[in-house]
Amino acid sequence: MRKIVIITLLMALSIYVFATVNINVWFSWEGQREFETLVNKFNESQSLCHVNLVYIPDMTQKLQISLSAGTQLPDVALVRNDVIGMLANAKVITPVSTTVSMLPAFLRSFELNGKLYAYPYYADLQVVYLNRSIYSKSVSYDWTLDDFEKIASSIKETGHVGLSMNSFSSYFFNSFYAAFNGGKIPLKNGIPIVNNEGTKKAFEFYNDIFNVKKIAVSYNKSALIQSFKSGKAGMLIQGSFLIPDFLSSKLDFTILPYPVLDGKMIPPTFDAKGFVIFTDNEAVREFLNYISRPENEEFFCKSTYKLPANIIAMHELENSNDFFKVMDLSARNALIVPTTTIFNDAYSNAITTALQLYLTKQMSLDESLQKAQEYINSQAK
Amino acid sequence: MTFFWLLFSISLLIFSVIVARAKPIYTLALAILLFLVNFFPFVWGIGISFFDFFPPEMKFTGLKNLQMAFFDPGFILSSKITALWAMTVMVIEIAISYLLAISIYSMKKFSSFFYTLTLLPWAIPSYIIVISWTSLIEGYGGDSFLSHIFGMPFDLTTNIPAAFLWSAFVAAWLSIPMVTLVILSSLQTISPNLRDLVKIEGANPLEIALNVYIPQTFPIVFPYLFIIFLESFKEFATIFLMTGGGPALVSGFGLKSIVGATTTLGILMYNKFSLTQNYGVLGAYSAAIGLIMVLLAFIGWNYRFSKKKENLIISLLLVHIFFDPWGMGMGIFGIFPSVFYLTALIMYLKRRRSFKRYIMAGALFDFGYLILSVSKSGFDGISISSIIAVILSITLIFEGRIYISRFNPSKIFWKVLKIGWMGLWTVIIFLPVWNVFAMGLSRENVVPITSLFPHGFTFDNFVSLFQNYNFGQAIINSIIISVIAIFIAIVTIFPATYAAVHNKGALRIGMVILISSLFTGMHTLIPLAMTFRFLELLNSYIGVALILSVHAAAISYFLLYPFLLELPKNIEEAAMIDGANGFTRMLKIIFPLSLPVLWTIIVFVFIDSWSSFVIPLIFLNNQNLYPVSMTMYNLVGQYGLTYSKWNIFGAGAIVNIVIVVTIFLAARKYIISGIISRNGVDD
Repeated sequence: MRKIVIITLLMALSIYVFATVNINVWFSWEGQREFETLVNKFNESQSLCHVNLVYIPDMTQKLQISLSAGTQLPDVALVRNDVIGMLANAKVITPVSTTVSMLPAFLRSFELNGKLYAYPYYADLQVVYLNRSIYSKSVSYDWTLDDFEKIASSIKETGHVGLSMNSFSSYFFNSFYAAFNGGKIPLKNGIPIVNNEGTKKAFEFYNDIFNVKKIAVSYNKSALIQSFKSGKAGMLIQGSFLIPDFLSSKLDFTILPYPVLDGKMIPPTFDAKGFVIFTDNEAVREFLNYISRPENEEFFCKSTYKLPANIIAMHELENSNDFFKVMDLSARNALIVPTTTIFNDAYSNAITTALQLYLTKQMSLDESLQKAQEYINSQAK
Repeated sequence: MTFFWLLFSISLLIFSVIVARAKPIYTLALAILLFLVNFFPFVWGIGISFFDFFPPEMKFTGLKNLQMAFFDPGFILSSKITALWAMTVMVIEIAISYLLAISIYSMKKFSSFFYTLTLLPWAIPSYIIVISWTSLIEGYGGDSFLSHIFGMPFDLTTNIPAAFLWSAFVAAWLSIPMVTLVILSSLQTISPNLRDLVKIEGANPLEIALNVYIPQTFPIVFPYLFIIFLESFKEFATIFLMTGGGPALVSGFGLKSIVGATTTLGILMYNKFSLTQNYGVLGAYSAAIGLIMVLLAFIGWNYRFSKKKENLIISLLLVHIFFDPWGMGMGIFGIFPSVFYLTALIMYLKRRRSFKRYIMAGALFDFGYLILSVSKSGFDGISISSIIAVILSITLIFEGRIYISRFNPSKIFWKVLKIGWMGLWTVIIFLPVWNVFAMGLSRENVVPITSLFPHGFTFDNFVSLFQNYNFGQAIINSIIISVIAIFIAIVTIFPATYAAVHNKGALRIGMVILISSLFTGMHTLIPLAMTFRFLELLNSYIGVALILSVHAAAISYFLLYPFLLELPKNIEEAAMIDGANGFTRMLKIIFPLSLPVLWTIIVFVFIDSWSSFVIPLIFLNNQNLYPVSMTMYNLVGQYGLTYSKWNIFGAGAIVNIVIVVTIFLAARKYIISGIISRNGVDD
């Protein structure tokens, strides 16, 4: 009898162990601790599946090599929208559908050929940080580009740097590129067009603020952020992911949406992250449903200052914090950049080089943009 | 997958033929590792270059990709920049290392302290110290601590000379310890009688250095310098972190590639990897780079053997034949120095000493062309054939002529100069290290730019590091991986090197190690990952350790081989007479005698394994297996695009430095005796 009981218990234990489905989830960027908390809560709330969370420092590179080498992919991974094309072409992900209400920008970020390929989770937006101890006057959210330049000039007159920004980064230039081209990125058969009048105007605007009026100074890497934190610069253009860092440094600052040009907000890049599914099963869907619940998204995004995809979570956060209001406003006018390699790499390298050569006066405006276009076209072949 | 296995089989066949007579019982283990980690990925790279390969689809395209890669003006310009950058690094290393070594050698007191201090940079992972140096050099867009000292801005994004020279300096800073150690050890071999004699003659320190120290040590040191030159061709991390390959060049803005002032071949390959999904194109660029490296490896190989002087003279011709038509050299003007070198070869074969005059004439032509061309055309004017020819010529014609100084200051002057120089170098070593300490002890999340003191002193970062980032487990993982890598390295490399000393067939292993190690890159990780997936070595300590042990194979082999070659033959002969077989002699006699140099290898492998982060990134999917380097990488994230936690990173860097330096200091005595014990190159 005792043997039968022991054997039965062992069998039940085996069934339990083997019946537990393990889900491998790859996570990256900020919010690792917050996401771990959610994962632990999920694991504790039920016994049928167990999530193994792995933090990946460079998700794009990891996926690229794993895909090419045919090595193991996880069940779920948090990705940036610019890899959707690569994953879909490799046929490792399939279209998904969601009933969660979210801003159109989230859905557009992960759409390819009209189909949604990931569950949007959050977004970072580009914003203008303003140091209130250097410039204390209030600024409305519908400020114009002229207002922006005037503020930068008045900050410069106090002996500070008006605006700190990476002048050669295509990541920030995209917004002005689109703004001076009527609000969207000019494409022809999927190929970015850079040697046109709109782009020339964007280049000239850069030259004006950096070289002529000198109200903006170009820094990069750690100096860019440090210049704002140390009080050297009055304004900084960067991603909203820096809000927690500046708050913990007890800086007196606020954030503003991008200024308005010709009646429209200069569109900030919408840097969206979402979960792609490599192994579709009930356990995976259950996990994704859990973390996408409004209260869980709110928990994740509240301390990390991410804009949640779930619109209920977003409204909750907006009501409690003005920073989320700015992020929401920015998201409604955001720029979804193309996710093709031509844009992410060829255009990006070309425009960075063209900006550098033009702004350092090594090349004329026309020549630099002509070279950039030739390079992009050549890579597109 | 069919193509994968076909290429696997072909490369296995080729490899087997190459190493067939290489005493398998001693070399099999190393041969298997070399094949899997280096040789097969190398053949893979060349094989896929004949295809358009968008995984998993392949389409045969013949020579299209190879033609595109070989004749890409961006690739040619990048090769030129790489050659000039590598030479700059080498010149900085020679100059500073000799100054350091001679200063320490001539010290009566504190020599041990300065020995240890000089070797300190070697123990610090490059990704930690480069970030520190960048903030010291560039600061706020060129307004930095160092810019105030030099009185000029150093904007590494736009200032071409600053970006080029500072990146070369930082790369040299990381390698100077090793070169200094080699020079120091070769200084030990100078006869004390000779030293005493020149002192009695009244020679001042400058005369002693130029007439005794440098001539006596140069033949031993120069082979290492050429290896450094080769390694610089593959340099990636320092440049990537400091300049990203920039500043932009007008002539570098091409159709196929964009090349900046510091876009070396390593950076170019990385950019290609990011840009293209077509691995056939990557393979083609890899083949083009590989061809350059094979020629350089041939030259470097011949440096190990001074008997092969005619090979070095032939190399002078080869570099012109190879690089001039390719557009990387002097073009049609290459005929002029080539005539001189050909004449020199004929003279040498006829045993006439006048061959050196012809080499000198050719070298002067090469040097003159290089100066004129670069002055006129900037980076486009660089001639790779001229650079290499000048380096080779110096080696071939160097004789250490008698130099008598007209400048004869007092002993106090030399003493003050030496103290000043050692004081300056002490500051240069400590400055970036202190910057890291300031980062790690700051309450604020900052990279120190305007102040060298912590922003709000705290030890909380260390608490956070261990509590929130699992750093303790990361240290354990690093130790496990390093120990396994060391074990594999010793167990495979030692027997193979022993066999190479006793068997000419086994010598081929050395050539395979050298050549295949020069071909590794991002694209070769793909076939490696595929192979490891098949062998179920992914996501394991042993998988990562295997790769890291092979990465250290080249330097390990070139340290061990000359040492074993110099051991007295009668020791083994006596054992043979007593009936000991080869394996017993290797294990019971040669192995204990080799411990000094093996300790050096152990430290090499340890530091290399501890610092590596690309291999763990690709081959580990389990966070519980992440070593220290991955945890550090996590804290920085994508540099400039994510929220980097500099203060926690700094704390991790401090812990990292303390661990590695402690082990290094514990093994210091063995390292130094290991280098001293070897008597140099086969004569």
